[in-house]
Amino acid sequence: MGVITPLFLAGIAAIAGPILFHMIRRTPKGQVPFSTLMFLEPSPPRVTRRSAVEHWLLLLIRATAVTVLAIAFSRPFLRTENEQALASQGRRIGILLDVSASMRREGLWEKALKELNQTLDQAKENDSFALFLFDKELIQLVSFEDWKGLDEGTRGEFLRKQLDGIEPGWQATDLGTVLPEAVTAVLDQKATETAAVATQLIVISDLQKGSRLTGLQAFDWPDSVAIDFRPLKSKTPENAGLQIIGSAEGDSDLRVRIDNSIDSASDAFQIAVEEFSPGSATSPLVPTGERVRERGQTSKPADRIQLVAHEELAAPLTLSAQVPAGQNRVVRISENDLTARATRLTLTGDATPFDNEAWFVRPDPARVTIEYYGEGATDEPNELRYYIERAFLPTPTREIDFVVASDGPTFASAAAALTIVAQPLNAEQLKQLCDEIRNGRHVVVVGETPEICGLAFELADRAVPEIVEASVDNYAMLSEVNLDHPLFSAFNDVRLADFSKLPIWKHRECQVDDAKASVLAKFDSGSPAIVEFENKKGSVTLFTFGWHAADSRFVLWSKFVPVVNSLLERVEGTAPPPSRLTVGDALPLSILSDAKTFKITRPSGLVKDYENGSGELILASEPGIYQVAWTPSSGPRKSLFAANLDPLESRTSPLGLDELAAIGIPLATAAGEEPSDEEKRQLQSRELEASQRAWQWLILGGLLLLLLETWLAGRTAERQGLAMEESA
Amino acid sequence: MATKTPSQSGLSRYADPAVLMRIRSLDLRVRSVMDGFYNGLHKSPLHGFSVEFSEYRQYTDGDDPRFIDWKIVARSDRYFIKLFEDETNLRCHLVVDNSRSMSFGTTQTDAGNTYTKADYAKTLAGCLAYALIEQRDAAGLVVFDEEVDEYIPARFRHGQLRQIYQALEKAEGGKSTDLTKPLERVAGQMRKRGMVIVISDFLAPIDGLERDLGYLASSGHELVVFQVLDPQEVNFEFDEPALFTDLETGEQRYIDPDQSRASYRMKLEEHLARVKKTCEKLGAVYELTTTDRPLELALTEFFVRRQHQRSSHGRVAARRGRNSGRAG
Repeated sequence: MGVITPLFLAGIAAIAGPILFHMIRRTPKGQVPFSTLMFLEPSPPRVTRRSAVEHWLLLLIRATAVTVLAIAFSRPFLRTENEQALASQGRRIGILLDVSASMRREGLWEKALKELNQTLDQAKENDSFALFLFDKELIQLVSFEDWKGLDEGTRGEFLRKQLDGIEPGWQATDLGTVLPEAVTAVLDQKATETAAVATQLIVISDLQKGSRLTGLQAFDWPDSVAIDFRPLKSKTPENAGLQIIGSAEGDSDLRVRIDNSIDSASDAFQIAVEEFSPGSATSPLVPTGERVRERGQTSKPADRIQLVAHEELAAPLTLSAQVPAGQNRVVRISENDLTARATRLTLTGDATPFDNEAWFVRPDPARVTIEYYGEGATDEPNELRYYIERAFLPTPTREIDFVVASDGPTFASAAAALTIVAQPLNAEQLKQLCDEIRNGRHVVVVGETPEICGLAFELADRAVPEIVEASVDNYAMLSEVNLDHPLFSAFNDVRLADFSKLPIWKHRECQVDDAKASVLAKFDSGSPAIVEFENKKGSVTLFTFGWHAADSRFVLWSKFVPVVNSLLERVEGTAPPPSRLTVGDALPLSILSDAKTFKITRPSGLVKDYENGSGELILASEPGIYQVAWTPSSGPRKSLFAANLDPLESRTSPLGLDELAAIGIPLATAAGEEPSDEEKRQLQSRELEASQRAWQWLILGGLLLLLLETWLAGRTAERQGLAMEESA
Repeated sequence: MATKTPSQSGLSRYADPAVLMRIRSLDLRVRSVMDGFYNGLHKSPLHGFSVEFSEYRQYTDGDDPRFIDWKIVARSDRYFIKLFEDETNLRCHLVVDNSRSMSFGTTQTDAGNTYTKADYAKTLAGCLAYALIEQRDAAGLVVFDEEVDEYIPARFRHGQLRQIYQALEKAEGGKSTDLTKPLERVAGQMRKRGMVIVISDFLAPIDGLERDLGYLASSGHELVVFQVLDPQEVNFEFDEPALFTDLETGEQRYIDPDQSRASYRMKLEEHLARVKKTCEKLGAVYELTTTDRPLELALTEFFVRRQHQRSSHGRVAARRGRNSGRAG
């Protein structure tokens, strides 16, 4: 048995108190009223002889209570065999090596490796190590189990070898996610051990401000793990970063932000804007993350196919900006200067180059074909065609091909298309269109007559019900509109859901009992107005009224353009994929409609073929332009994506350890302050005492003894009082 | 601690205080004492005093014709009324201490109750008043603590005794002892020579006692001092150490009787000696009694001593008269 604070044992001497008090017969048995005290002097307390100690049981209880309390305050613990085992087991150390983009700064990686080597050199025989790499994710290179399975002599070397060829990647740092993950991983491995051992996490990192600490505050740090941060200092602490904050989508100009760090010495910067052709920039390095994640399938040199520039690039445009230290500035680049498909922006004037490039790709407009079966001239305002041609306007992300297909289907070449039927079809057309619908075509039938209305049922492979011309007094209106349907979801607001401004003078009446058909709107008479039928991959939307002026005011209605455009947006492939990515994002492969294989050219020049539909996520692992090439049935296509560095990674000012301590991270002592054997023994004693917590039981016992003493003393006093009264 | 009473100590022919104090009525208590007292004492201790003639006054209508001096009418044929200085032999004031220290008492009645010094003092005062009134003397009463609580002027009239009894019975425990004020009051009221009987425990600083009593003595009053103490106050025979509380000041002290007994007795004796010396110096009759002592004994002793004192005073006065006649 041992004690943590032996000084408190001196409190046992306090049992002299009860003993002395028991021997002093200064226990007035009560008050005696007397006529005068003028002849009486106060008597000194009289100490009786030892044999005269009264109430042995009370004395025993009081002395025991004092002793128990003194022992409790000295915080005793029982030495166990585990303690010895603890001493022989050594520490468990998890090393977390930062491989985020900010570690690409000059000299940092070398320092990190040096720190790692030093830590391994200082390790003792009993220590066991695990090695992790981290940026926004945690990757375990060596586990405690691996370490345990190795020969003692080769362990350090093995661990160092694991880092051969690994360099910092381009990912952002996310300490808030990674650190709790690492703690959990280390504790999971620890749980398999029998004895409790000291566990430490050594984080070798540049600890930049943009390390995302949000997740750390909420984490419930276990007591048994201490985090030892080994911050690395860069030779050049100043840094300016370049970030794209707005593209030409919606805004014709491109906006970029220059963020200058507070300790920066320079404030004059230039941005070089140059056209970029994939393959013009090559990097011999394979990114770390890629190496690690694709362990076992490392790329061979033969895979690297260099894309060469096939056209001479124009001289770069240079823009200047003054950005004082600690501030940022947004620079606009005119749309006219961004003629090329892909653009590289390079910041000059900054001593730290890793975040000085940004990449921009103008989004590829989607080509949409609208096929129209109907009559009418393009410049006749009374005809439907006049309005349809004008309702589907091209946008920067969408180009519209309007095809009048009255004589025969021409949609075979269009990947994305919408078909509008406003006239009767012949049998061949009907059959072809039916096949198309089954394969995913979307058809809108404008039921100007009962016969055309019947086409919709035929196209949807349904039996044609009886369709008659409705008799309308004055005009009909839409009611029971399904605002949850994508066609009307834009109006799903009390302020917008007013359909009373659409008078319909003529419409057709039919019964729709099909469970697979959904009625999107009805007339106020209860007859279906807009019905949607699904047919395998495709769908047919039937309007039981004509859009032209003779039937209704639909084409002049304010909601006409939104409604018909929402018809178009439902067609897959009409919305362009996002062209701006951050390093670490997955490439948007939804564009690869029916292609079986596709090829990705990475910014490093690495080209690789992939199988479509495998569900594999292909991440943008480095900043630059990614080219995806695939060959659908409509012919070979290419798409470009720009991946940029996470803006937070440019915030390279170092974090203070006090900031980390303030959010509750249990910091370990510095590496130089290795505790002595005596300190270790004390530490182990403390841990043992903390786990046993004998003091709590002793305090409880002491209190119970005091309660017993109070009761017994009260009872004794009561008896004495009674005895006195009897004797008096 | 209970003290032995006369019944236990062989003085059975006297009224046992232990029995006497069971009687609640002061009147009855006094009669019990005084009946026995008169049975044993046939000669009035106050004999020798007479009505003092004051002056004659011409009779006017409305005067009681009983007081007309017929001898003068015979001699001068004029009606004169004979006026007397007083209607009694003696004017005596009983000055009874009722301070809180008098409420101490450990002597038990035979019913098991304790009675206090104040009970004893009141009975003693009652007995003296009875004796005085029986002898057709004027008796008055002053009950005091640090103030004068009750004052009944000395008179001889019907109901005076009852009034004194009532005042004595009514008096409740007071505060501390201060003799100065009551004695000043008595001195202010007694224009003519008389007797002052002070009954107190005198358990207070007695530095001013000589001055207070001396003022009365110098006015020609006859002084009698009864000092009443409880047997425990005399012997201090407590067994256990205890917290002793001063009844007058409320002060508390831890006292071990075994340790303190000797010094207490010594100091008390010194104190009593000083009181006695002061009394003797002023020519006062000093009588120390304890509450377990039969009242008759105390009274008899007092009367005997007083008679002795008076006779010695008388002899001294006669000797002085003869000496002065011879000289003349």
